[in-house]
Amino acid sequence: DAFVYLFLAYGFIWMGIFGFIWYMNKKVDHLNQEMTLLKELIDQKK
Amino acid sequence: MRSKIDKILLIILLIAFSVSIYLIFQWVPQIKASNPAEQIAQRIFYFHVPSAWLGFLAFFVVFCASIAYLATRDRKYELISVASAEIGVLFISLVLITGPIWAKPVWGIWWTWDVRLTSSLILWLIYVAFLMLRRYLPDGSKRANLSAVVGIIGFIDVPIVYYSIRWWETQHPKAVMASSEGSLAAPMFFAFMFSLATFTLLYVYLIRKRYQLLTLEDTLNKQFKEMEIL
Repeated sequence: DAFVYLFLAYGFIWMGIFGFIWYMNKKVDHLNQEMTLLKELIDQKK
Repeated sequence: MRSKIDKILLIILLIAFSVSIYLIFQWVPQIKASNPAEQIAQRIFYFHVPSAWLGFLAFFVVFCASIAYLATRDRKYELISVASAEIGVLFISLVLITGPIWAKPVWGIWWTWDVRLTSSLILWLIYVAFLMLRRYLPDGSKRANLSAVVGIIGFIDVPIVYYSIRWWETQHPKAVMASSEGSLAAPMFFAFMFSLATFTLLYVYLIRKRYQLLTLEDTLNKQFKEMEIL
């Protein structure tokens, strides 16, 4: 049915947009972990 | 301050996308077409074309940032070009997915090797190569220079994709905007322009977020190197 194609097209677009935002949020979490590690290492050096 | 602007942008985006969906599915009248499937699938147009526009805009920013990097050797421009290339690849991927989904009920086939489709695929491959080049080369001026050159040369394909439907006979529909050959009814034109503006705002939001992340990542890497851990 043509509606299935319409649903698929819009579904992929939303998945792409939200997927990219999700990827960036995961990246933020990862960088926060690295930041914590860096702070610990600086404290150890002191 | 930065995160406040991002939050405001996100709220505006959510409202704009909600209005855009309402316009596309409720407000815009159905097109007159002999094939009933075409009438329904035509609504893919309102997100398919703005996705392509966003891809072109992103690659134009890569082009400008790459020139700026080669002229100034400022790391900032390198990071802007990477952030923009990632967004461009994402949206050209969406164009290459939604295009065949629209083509199947209208043309009866998913894909044909016509100039518009093939040049779009080549554009996607060029910028995937740009991102792969950055992934596989070690960080440094060699990587930055090479990727800047790819970012500049790769942009040549953007006008080819845009003008391909004017320069050659293609199965892909002719331009309905910015040409004397076609026109859109007023409600369709309004919904399309609204969607285009929404996608442009989405680009602003995504590039801000991605650039901030890349800058943070870069700063962290530098600090780790200073600590002589890496």
